Parts: sequence; structure tokens; C-alpha cells
Amino acid sequence: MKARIVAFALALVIAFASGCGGEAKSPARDTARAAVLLVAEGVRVADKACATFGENDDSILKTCVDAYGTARSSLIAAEAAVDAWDAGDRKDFTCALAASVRGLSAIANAATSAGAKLPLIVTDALTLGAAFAGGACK
Amino acid sequence: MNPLDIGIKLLGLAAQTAPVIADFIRKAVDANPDHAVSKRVSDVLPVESASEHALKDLSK
Repeated sequence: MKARIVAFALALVIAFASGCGGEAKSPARDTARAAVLLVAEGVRVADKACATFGENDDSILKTCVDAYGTARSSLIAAEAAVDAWDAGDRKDFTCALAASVRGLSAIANAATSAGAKLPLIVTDALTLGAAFAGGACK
Repeated sequence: MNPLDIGIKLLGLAAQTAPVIADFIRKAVDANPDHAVSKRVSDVLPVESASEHALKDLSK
């Protein structure tokens, strides 16, 4: 019994390790949609933090305004790619999501430099978004 | 908690135990993009951001 558990755990570790570090795997449509909405929520929360902590600094606010526009339009494009998942090219999704993650990252950096402590949803959105978008957009 | 939230939670619990229910929910949500369960990016992110609003306030 113990040997079976060890073998199962080892199989899980191997399966997990083979999924990391290699080329990004194309996610299922439902997972892709969830990733888009999570990044969108991360952008909303980071933008609010930027507006609160950078309220007296117009250069920080301008950075966030620009990055928000980029992130929002990219997320809408990623969402459209998810809607047309069966017919579409997965590269459209990954490229759009990558652009939105860059926008989120810029907002998060600006908010942090203004003194904000970012909620976990922002870091989770950055991590998950980068995992789906990383390396597949060329 | 309103009845819709309770219903959604119960459906979520049912979906975790029965793949048929999970598949049904997925198809139902996908078939109707305007369904209440299905959120859109534009619902989460308004055109004018909070930072843009703050920037307008700052320049007043």
C-alpha cells in the first residue's frame, strides 16, 4: 500500500515537472476564460491601489492609466479569442493575454512604488497569466 | 446571501460530484454569453479606470 502511494506521488511529481519549464501548454477553453477573468480582476484591484496610493503623483497615475488601457483592450481581445476557441488560433489568445499581463505588471509596479501593498489576487493573476502566456507568443 | 447565489453554490457543489452536471453547466454558460453566471471583461473593467478618475481629480 505504502509503495503504491509513493509510486503515485512520484508519478504526480513527474507529470508536474514535465509541465514546467517547457513550452507553454495550450489551456482548455474554460481554463483560458477563467485566466482572462482572473487577470481582469487583478487589473481592477491593482488600478484601484494605484489610484489610492498615487493620488498625488500624476506621473504614477499616468503610468497606470496607459497600462490599464493596454491591459483592458488586450483582455477584450483575449476574451474574443476564447469565444472563438474552436475556430481560432490559440496564438491570438496567448499573445493578447501576454500583453494584458505586461499591462497588469506595469500597474502593479507603479502602485508598489507609490507605497501600495498589493493583494494576493494581483500576484496570483500575474503568476497565472504569465504561465499561460509565457513563451508561446512569437 | 440571495437565492441566486445559493443556487449557484449548490450547482457548484453538484458539479464537483457529477461530471454530467459540470458539463451541462459549461454548455449552458457557453451557449449564452449574456448569461448572469458568465462575466465579461467589460463588466469587470469599465472604460474609465480608477487611476484616470484620480488623475482628473488631481488636475482640477
